[in-house]
Amino acid sequence: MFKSGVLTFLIVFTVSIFAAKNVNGSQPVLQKTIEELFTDRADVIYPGSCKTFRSSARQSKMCKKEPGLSNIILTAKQQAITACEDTFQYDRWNCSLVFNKRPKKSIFKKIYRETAFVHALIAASIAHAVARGCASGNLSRCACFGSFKNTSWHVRGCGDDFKFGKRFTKNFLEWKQAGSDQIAEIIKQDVIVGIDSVGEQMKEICKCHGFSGSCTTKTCWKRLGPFNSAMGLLKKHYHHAVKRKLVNFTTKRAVTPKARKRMQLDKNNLIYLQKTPNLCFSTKGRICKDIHNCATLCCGRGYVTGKKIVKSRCKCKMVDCCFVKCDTCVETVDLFTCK
Amino acid sequence: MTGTIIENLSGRKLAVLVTLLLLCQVICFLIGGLVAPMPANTQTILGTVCKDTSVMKNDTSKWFYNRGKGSCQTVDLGETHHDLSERDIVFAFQMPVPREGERFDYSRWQQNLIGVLQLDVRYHSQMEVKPRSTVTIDARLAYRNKGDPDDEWKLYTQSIEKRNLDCDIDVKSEEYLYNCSTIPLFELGSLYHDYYLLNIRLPVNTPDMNVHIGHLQDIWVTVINQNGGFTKVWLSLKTAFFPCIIAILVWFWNRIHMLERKPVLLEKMLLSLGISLCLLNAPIEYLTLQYDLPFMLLLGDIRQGLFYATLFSFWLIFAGEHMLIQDTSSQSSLKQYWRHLSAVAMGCVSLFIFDMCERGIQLRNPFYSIWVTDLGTNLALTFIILAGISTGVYFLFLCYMVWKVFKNISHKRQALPTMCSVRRLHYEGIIYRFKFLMLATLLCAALTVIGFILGQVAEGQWKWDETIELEYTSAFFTGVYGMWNIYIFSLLVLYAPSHKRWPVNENTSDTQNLSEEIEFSPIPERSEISSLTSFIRKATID
Repeated sequence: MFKSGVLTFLIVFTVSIFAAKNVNGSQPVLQKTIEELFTDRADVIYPGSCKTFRSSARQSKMCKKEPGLSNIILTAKQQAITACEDTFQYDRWNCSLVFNKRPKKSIFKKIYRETAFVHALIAASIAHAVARGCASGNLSRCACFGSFKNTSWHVRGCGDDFKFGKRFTKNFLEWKQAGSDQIAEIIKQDVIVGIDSVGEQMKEICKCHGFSGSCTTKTCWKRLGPFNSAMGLLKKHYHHAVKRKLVNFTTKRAVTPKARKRMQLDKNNLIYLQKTPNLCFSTKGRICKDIHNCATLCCGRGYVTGKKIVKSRCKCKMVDCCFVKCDTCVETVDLFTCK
Repeated sequence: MTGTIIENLSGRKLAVLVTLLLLCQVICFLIGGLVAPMPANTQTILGTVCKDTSVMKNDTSKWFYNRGKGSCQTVDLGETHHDLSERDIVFAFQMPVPREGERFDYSRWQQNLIGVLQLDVRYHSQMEVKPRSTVTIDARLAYRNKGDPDDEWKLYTQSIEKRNLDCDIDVKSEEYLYNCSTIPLFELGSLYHDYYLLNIRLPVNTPDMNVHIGHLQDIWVTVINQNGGFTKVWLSLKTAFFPCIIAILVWFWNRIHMLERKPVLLEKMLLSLGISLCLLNAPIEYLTLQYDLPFMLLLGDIRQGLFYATLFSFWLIFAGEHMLIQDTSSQSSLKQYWRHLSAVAMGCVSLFIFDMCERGIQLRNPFYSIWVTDLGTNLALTFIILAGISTGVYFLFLCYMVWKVFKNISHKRQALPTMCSVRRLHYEGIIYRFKFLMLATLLCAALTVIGFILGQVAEGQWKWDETIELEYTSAFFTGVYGMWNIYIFSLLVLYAPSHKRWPVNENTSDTQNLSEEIEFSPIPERSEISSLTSFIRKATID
């Protein structure tokens, strides 16, 4: 009786170690790529044809085949990080890589709300950048999606670029090969939610060109918005993310149908596993937007009001078609800093 | 005397014919739905910002493009450039954009090219876009063909155009874009060349030119062209229908010439209806595969308009000819209907003028749009409203006339029991078939309208299962096109004069009938018009 108890304990222990290893250690390409893209903020150039990150063999092949791709990935990375930092400027988590400034507390260690969000963000950004690349002609291998196969573009025409962007991103991140255990399923869903929030931002535009220009013939297409407007939706997803419990310790095992069914319910939400640690320790010295924002950001410790001389662009004019020309104005503004 | 074929056709034959026609109709619908792709296709192109360092900006031999040998030096508008002035910026759109690793080219099967401009204007608190501001565009279009070197672009057309920019914004934040309406840019009636290149500049020649358009981030151009597959299906339909209508017309004309009398108005109307359908069906689009014919869009409109005009006039006259109020002595002519037809004429003329003002001028300058200036907008609206009013008046009038015919028929029907049985049966048949044709017209019109509304509501593609997809928009077009063709084919056939004699010799009562009829006719029934008309006219005299 006692013996079997020890045995069970031992099994559970080893399995959970393996499980923990699976989260930190040998990750699928999907997680590895996203983590690397998000972590590297110094624009290091890596060997290999993708340049922006240490690519897998398959990714290198894709980058080699499509010369414009490495630039697109770089753009995607930069626009994701910039958008993230801008949007989370006044939040407790300010898009940092670690929690509470402790190097050991990486956001990629476990699947926190933030981890889920970053996966969605990077995937969305890649899909957006690829769709844009297709539209500008920088990517020449964008596929045509018609509803029918094996016919040329002359006959059927092309589907829209975002559809290709979505498929390409999934392909590039090796989404299908990410595994089918619970953690992989969660990450995979987060990626899809991210990409789809770009798709949801697209607006339909129609043009009538029928008899005498009337609407007897109407053609509609979807317009890709700027990445920033998808960012608003992504932030909403961040706030409405759903926490799930790890169903069994053997994370390597495929998800049971019951758990899968439960995941179906939250198909349109980001999913995370671990509660974010209290971030209040790190908000000291952070600048808040206004008094209202200070109340949450400073965790009730109060704030110091200071004055700051700010140089800003003002009296901007569009003297030219495409450039903004501004004067520099000097203003004194209130500055709220968390105690 | 003879009647028309529909009156002499037995019920069973009629049923077989109708079934056959319905079958043809279903085939037309399915060809569009299953074989043809959607009618038009779009490609959205993001403008590449090019640097133009040349001194002379109006040199039309210098072109900017982003792919191929000699491509331009690109500029990132997000950064500040001190060495560049507004005049050095060119937005380049090279079309079509490459796909699947291939350099695509346009095929002549794609027929036409329509360009729509979309400006991405970022919100900037210091530079809000004023409502109803105008943007001045210097647009130049060049072409190149397969086999030409990469830099050999030739000027196609060039124009400086003003467009209205309507923008609004929900969230006034620096990172957000204005929600700007799309701007129609150009319409090419023919897609003759393989590659096109659009260069757009936003000139600032005067101090107030292009200053209120805010912080421009990107320019997108969406080009719409007809799908080659759709053109092929459409042309095949035309090629199939064209010989049919020619054959039917020849047969109809022969039939009329076999008679001793001159053709009556209704027959003349049928003939002109057939001729206008002939014009509509003529597959002259084949010529565009060989020659550059930019007037095809306009010509298509004119052909379609002519067909509608004759069809509408035919309905009016058809109803009028069965009205039983005219004095029987005179042959009815088109002059009698001038009041009725003036609504049709006015509608057509105003639409024609509008079309000439828009697509006619586009022949000279593809960037032209009537909607830009206030005067042009008012003028265009006037013609469109006029056309709308005439259509409304026309339909009111038509409904009134049809209602009157039906009332007269039911009124005369009460007189039927007093007639002898054979004649009664015969007349009842005629009334039934007349109503049947009215019903067919209504059915066709209703189906067209319902199909159109369904197309507006539905997403454009219906899926039954994984394998069968119905392209609804194309199915609607081919279905409606086929339906009106079949409608007119059957009108021509069923209303052609019949050479079957009335069964005079079969029994005595009929002979009696005939004599009775002759007795009743105050004038010798020389004209062999539709016996229904003669019946009604005679009945009035009764």
